[in-house]
Amino acid sequence: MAKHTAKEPIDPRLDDSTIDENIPWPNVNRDMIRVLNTNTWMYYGGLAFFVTMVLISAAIFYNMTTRGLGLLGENNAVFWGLDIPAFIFWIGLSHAGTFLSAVLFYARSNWRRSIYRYAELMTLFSLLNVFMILTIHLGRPWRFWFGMPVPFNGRFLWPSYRSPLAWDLIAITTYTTGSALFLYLGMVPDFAGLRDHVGGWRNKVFKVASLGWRGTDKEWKFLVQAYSLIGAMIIPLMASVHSLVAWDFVNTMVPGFHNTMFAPFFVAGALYSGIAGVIMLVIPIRRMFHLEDYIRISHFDKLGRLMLLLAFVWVYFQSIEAWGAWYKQDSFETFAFLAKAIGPWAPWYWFMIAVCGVMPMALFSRKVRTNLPVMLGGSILINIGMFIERFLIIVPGESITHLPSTWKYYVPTVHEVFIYIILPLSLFGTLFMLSLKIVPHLSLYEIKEILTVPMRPAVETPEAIPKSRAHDIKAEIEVDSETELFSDVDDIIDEKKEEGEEDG
Amino acid sequence: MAEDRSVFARFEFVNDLIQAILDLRDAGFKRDDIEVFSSIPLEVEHLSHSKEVNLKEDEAKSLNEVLFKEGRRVGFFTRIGAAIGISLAVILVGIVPITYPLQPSQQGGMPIVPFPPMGILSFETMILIAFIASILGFAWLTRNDRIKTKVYDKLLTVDRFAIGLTDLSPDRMKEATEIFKQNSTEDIHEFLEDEPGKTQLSESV
Repeated sequence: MAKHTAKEPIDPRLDDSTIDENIPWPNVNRDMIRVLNTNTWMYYGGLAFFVTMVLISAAIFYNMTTRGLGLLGENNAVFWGLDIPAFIFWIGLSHAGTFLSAVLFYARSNWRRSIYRYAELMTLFSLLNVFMILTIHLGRPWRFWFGMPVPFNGRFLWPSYRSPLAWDLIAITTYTTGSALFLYLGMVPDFAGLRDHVGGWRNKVFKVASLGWRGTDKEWKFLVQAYSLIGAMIIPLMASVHSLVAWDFVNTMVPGFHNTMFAPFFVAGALYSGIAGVIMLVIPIRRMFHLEDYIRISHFDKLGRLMLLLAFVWVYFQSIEAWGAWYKQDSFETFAFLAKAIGPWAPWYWFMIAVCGVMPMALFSRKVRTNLPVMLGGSILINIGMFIERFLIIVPGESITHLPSTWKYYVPTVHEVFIYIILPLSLFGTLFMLSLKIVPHLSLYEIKEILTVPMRPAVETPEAIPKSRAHDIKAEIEVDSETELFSDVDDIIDEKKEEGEEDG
Repeated sequence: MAEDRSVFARFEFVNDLIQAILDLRDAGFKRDDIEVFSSIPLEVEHLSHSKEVNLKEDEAKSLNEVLFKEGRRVGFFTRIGAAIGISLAVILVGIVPITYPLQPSQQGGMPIVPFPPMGILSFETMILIAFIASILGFAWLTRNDRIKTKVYDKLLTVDRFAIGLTDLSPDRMKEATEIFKQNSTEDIHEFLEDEPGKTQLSESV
């Protein structure tokens, strides 16, 4: 176990630093290797739980595939059920990675350095879930390749590029590829750092993954160039992906969907749930691997502030949605909203408002932002609320269409809950737990950059001191020599004398 | 005189490394001959603010020339990738509706080649191919601009810095070694270019 050089203060309100700058550089390497080698019952217990849940959910999915879609609660009106809410939820969760790594990279926010790798991993695994959900949602998952926007494929199916669904597929493919490459690029020097000091099978993996990295000036130059370029490109991509997802709905005439504010609404909601997702991940990992030196209380304070800001944006969009339902004077639109506010979905709607709109106001208090159990619980509730939000965007709109004779209520079945909620969650948990043993979760070089660089202490020679400063220094020396310096020596002599008398 | 000698010097402190680089430059070593190893990207702007380094303007410029050598850039590959991506989307969105077998003159009153989707898809594919091209460019450049110094030290990924010089004549190597010693180098290795010798100097942390 590595020695912790930085202790958390008793009152975190007194500490605003994100990391102790005096942590020696070798400690960063050692702590990362320690995370790779730490095997606790919590880790294996968690991994076993997630793997079990994946297997159970996969069995239920197989059951649905062989017996038919009739096992789902979907009907002629509500044909997107839990599939698309889950799809939007996981896309949303993926946005925090880009925000924390790329946006804060350009904002020169040093506090991101300890946590952004978790956010990027969350992005990648969330996007893998998105692909899985989309494939399952097809109904015949073995024909997923029919969705590929490739013409001349002998299927007599020409992709319609006018459809936002085709844009969606290309945007998500781009975002997944970009997120994976962005994550990998930042890890190349870290893989080299681990390659040099880790043995066994991991050494072989790290050797390949580090691309022969040696840390030369040219390598750093190319890395910084590539990282900055990809970072600059992935930010607009992030906004475009969820905007395109929003346009899937906006371009229809379904009540509740046809709304011009959906694109920014979706992006803001995505960032909101994504930040909550990062908090949910980082708090247990920090505890499990004793990463208190790198992930400080002040990180959660800053994440809390960010979440509060996004909560306000979210509340604004919710208010605009309610106001728009009245202002449009479209009876179906109004009815779709009323079904949420005072109709059959009212308990879910008000629970969502309570946990995503009202509860985050507690984040005004620094005591709340620096209380980790409260932050963890709050983040879980916010993400539950955000899942419900996506559900309430899709299902009431589909239920209450322009043809009242087709109106139908929707209740998900156990099959749907397992396939669209438990399977992605447990798959995400499994991938994340496995990544803890393969991927450097702390960016070694980015953390070292904000630590004190090893420097030989400066020796000031008279020639090196500018004339203006030389006068000041001379005056300081005179003051010291006359008063404080000799008074200190006198005190020390007195103390020594007293000690000698006591010793006899 | 054969210029087949190399020298590799390791430093504990970054200010010693910087002074050694500046002394090498003063001694006439070219910026492209000086290879600097570190576990973080060394930024002159950041370093020159510390009182231990205290660089003058011309020294900072000279150091910057070594640490951030002018030359090929990843951005070139990114731009090529972006151009390919845009072209791909234009071809895809343009050709697919034209080659559709049930070809009416107008599809539902809309033009056959839809330009707004072409813009959206051009953006997405531009970024997709630019991403891939950037990474390939990065891998290609780091591989082809690979440092000539054969020796590598595992401590370089922990907390040490190093300078490697290659293709030196015996006199130049002696001169460089003197500079390194004056600047409190921790360890110096002199070797011939074709010497099989050991390439890893330090054990793991």
